[in-house]
Amino acid sequence: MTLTEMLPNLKQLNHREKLKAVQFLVNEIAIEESLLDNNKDYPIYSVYDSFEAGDALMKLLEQENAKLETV
Amino acid sequence: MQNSKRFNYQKIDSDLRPSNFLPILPISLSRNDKSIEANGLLDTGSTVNLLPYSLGIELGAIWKDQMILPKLSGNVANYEARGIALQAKISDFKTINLVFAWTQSDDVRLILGQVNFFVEFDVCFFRSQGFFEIKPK
Repeated sequence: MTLTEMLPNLKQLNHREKLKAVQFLVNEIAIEESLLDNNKDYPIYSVYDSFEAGDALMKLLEQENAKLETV
Repeated sequence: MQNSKRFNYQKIDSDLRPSNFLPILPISLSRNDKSIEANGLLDTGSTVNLLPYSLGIELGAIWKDQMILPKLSGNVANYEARGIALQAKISDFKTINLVFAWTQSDDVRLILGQVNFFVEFDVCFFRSQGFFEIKPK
């Protein structure tokens, strides 16, 4: 089916359905573009599974909060 | 959520595709007599809060005086990190202590993660509607 054939059907959608159609197309384009960028490096910002560092920071927080209580 | 504040997802560049909108929170960080205005990425997948090197320097922190942290993961795995406590103010909520893994890298975002941002704040994400809400615990 071509776009020209689809347009009359799209016009018949209600407002909410038209918005959903737009969202669907934007998502499709995003997926297609990321597939085209297979060779690109993507940064991993999350400091995931760093539990030892998390424990150490919680101890630091306890010390800082204790300082505030003694002031 | 009652008594919560609402913030919009922010566009991180000029491209309007959905992946370019992130939950970024304006936050004021201070240490002793210095303070900065910054934007932190709310990252539920991050174990810790993460402070880029230059922001720590702007706040007057001295690297060698801070506590050495165990090795981190992700983009900053190859950089040494130190622990640092900062005072944080968000909107008109009460100022609290947030602890950060201060990395030697500047190629990172300011991240607000599980320890201890999500310990201190309850957060609801409404991604489909483009906003999130937070309130102190």
